[in-house]
Amino acid sequence: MVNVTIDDRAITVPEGTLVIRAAEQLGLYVPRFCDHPYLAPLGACRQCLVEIEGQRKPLTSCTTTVTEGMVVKTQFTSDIAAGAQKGVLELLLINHPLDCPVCDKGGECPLQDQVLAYGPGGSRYREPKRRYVKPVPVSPLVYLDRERCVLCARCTRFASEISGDPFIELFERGALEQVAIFEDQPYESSFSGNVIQICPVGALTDAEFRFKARPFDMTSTPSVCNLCSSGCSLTIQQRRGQIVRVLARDNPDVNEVWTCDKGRFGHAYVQRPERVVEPMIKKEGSFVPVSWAEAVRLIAGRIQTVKANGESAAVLAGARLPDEDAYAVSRFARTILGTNNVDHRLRRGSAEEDAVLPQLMHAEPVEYETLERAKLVVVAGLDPREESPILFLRLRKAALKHRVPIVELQPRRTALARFGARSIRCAPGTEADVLLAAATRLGERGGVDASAVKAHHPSVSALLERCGADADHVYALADLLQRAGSDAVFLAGERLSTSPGALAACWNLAAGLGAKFARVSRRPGAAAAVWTGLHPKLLPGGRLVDNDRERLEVEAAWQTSVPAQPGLDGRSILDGASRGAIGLLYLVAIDPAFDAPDSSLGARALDTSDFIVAHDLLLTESSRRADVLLPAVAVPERAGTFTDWEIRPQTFSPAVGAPGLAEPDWQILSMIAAELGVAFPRSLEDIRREIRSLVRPQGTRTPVLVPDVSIPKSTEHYPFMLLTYPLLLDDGTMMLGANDLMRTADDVFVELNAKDAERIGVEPGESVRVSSQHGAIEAPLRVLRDLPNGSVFIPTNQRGTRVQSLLDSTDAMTFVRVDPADAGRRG
Amino acid sequence: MTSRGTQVRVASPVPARPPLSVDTLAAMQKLMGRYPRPRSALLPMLYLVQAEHGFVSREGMKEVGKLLGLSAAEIAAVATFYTMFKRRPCGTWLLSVCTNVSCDLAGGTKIYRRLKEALGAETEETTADGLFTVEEVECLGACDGAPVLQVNYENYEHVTEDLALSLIESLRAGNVPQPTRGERPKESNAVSRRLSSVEAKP
Repeated sequence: MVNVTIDDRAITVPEGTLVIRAAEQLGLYVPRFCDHPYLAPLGACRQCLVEIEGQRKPLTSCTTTVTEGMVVKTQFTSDIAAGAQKGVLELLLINHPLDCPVCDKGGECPLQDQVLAYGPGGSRYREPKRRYVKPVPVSPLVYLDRERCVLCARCTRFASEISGDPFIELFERGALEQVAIFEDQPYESSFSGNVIQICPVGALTDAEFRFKARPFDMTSTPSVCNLCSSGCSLTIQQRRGQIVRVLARDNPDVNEVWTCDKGRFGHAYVQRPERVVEPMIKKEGSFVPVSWAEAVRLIAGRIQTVKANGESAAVLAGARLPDEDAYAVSRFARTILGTNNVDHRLRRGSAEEDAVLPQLMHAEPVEYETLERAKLVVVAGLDPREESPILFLRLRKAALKHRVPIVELQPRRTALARFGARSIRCAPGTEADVLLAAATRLGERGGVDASAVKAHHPSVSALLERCGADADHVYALADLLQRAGSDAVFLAGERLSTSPGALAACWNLAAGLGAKFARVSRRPGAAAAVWTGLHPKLLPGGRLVDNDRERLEVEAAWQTSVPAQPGLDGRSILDGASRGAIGLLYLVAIDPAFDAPDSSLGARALDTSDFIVAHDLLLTESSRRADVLLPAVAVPERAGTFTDWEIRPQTFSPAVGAPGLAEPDWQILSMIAAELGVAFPRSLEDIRREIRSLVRPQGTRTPVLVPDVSIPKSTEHYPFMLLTYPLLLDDGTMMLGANDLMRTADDVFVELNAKDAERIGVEPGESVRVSSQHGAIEAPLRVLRDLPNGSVFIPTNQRGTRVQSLLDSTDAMTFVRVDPADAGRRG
Repeated sequence: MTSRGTQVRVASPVPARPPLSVDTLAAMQKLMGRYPRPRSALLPMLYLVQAEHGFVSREGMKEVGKLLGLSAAEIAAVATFYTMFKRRPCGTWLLSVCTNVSCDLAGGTKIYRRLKEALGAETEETTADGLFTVEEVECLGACDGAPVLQVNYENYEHVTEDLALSLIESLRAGNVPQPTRGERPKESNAVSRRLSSVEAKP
């Protein structure tokens, strides 16, 4: 610790503290532009000059670290500091256009504030100012005004230090120094909006927000992002009931001060005219608006009929529901519909998933901060930059700042490799082999509890041969795991659940090492969906439906009985519905007709169902097939909680009013319960109380059985294994209206490695035709150097293509063939 | 845009260049191997681009970026900072006239204007025959020899307008006069290659 005196007040701070930070701790705000707590010190703007005793000239407090006995005088006590700061301000203003009345930053501009507080009333500078063409779009989302720029380099440092997309830089020198992009290469980054927010002047502006509102005209509401499971804290700003801007809100534990472009710019869907705003009933093939009372009466009647006739009911609920709604749906299914046919997945469940999921919430939590202290992070079946961008930023920080080794295990190399993560690549579906090989190797050296590897599986060499991973890489992983022991962290993507044995193998390896384990899903409500029981075998709190003691606990809380038989998983519900075996299909925030693997099944299931109730924001492929369509409120219009991938619950309150007659999902269910005269929570607080009493971490982790994996083989006719997952910006319903944002989205592509591309005889950029037993799509080819042989990657649901049409949800693996696009037409 | 105020020069279009030669790429690899961090070879590599293309071309910057794992923006940020990296094709002979205080008092600005007039070339533009580029530069650190004119970075001191014009004529005729100090200047591509230090003995 170091003792310093600032403005005659003593303070003791850790060694290495910057003077500007020490001053902040005393409540002394030294003006600054380039300094930013999450960026490395630079000293570019010179605004934070302070007087330090014994120094000949004022020093920049943002680059000077404290020394023992240092005596600092800021502008509050030193004429020298105040004079220096005033001088710098005058210099910064020489070329500044002083166009505050038309500048977006006006009202929240550090430069404006500093000038008002400390600056001169007029300028001594009479000469013409430097002029530039403006504004220059550096990307479809960000506009640059070089005349306003004070060259603080916050934006360029963010791009290189934080997000690692250095496509925006300081060009030229001297009086012509300026922020720029290389010719026509735009500032392409999933995080570009952050540079707008940290710009201390109006140089970088938001393409969409430009000239829309003044900071003092808007009402700000703290919120939580609902577009992935990262759990970013946001500030939603509205003017006259319209959301005009979304900002990242400081939350050092989660998103620090950043958020991704999807979270920042992807809010247009909320206030689209296409929103469903009143309850509707299908009459003679088209929707007719009705009152809530009529809709609720109709549904209640149907529920009674279905139950009286002994028909089955089923619920599919999206993993984008806030916790309270997920819980309400789970309880509604069990106590009102009397069924365990409820799932948040549209695919098949598996025994290993059933075994791991209920244990997840009892595992020692992994938090963002844990990653920085870990000795090793293994990322499996997860592409963080596309699926949880803020997790990506934290992993990057852990790797670069804290030297945490990161190993990624997946068929496709991701952006993690750009900052030195080691990639272990294996054929799609063989992740389990890699994990089992590493575990066996570790077991041979006594590095892991034997129970973790106790399973029927082939030898290490047989495993390695099957997955095609580089043996040296796998052995290196085993070495790293042995060294890290319980300080290793496993981040398992939801995709591991669809790779046979992989989730179990990963869980067991973590359990055997005593290491930490977290499941990272792409969707914001995935964690809550599991522990509130949107699962055919799970009740709230991870309790098992078929465990009498656990079920009784839930029955006691609900004061009603719960069926003891596990229900149908998502895929089985769709199968049943397509056979006409489901009398009532209840959809909450889910679109099986579009999203289900093998989407024709989803559509068929809905077309065959007798009676469908859907809660939705918009008319989707599924909700337009409903018999009763109920308007739900969007996240910014409601109060609720989201539990992010860390299992960190964060509550939010409404930022704008809901359109028309829309209601929160839980409230709709509560109305139906009231109509039926069945007990059900009547308020958000009721639900939260129930969640608190039912959902408590308990128990310990136990290894689960790794299934004997038999991986289907490719055939001569369908030689390629298909890997698919959505990129950050996909053609999802929530991206409706986010036009500028979608201009930054990738075009659809098909990825092969160079050898396979050559074998087929297609050059990059040429169109290929990918076909399976179920369908075919066409898209241009890209070559990714080290995609495994015989694998093809196509992003799910990229604009213009639906990979779902190739998939068969009965198989974990989909095999396809890839041909030149013109071959089909010629033949 | 008003006529007053400093405007960014509207540059003439930058011509496209073919991909770098195999030899240049090999030389770049050699340079990268010299440093613990390959990025340290960035400046010498840009000189190699200039040696081959006559200026730091867009194609060259992209290739250097690819080799070093840097974005084109990062390369251009460096290339646009240093005045010895030319942004448009540079003549065989680069004439740099100092117009800073000492040289200006001794007639530097007049010499600069006279040269531009005689060559019919705007600042940093190259004559149609590709022989000459004239530029105005800041202090060259040889005020005792003011006014100073450099040809491919070799000093000709105490020049007059007439001397400057006769210098052009001899260069055009293929005679390179002896500079005030140092050796006779080589042609600009050779100078760039030498500045890259690729042939320097360790």
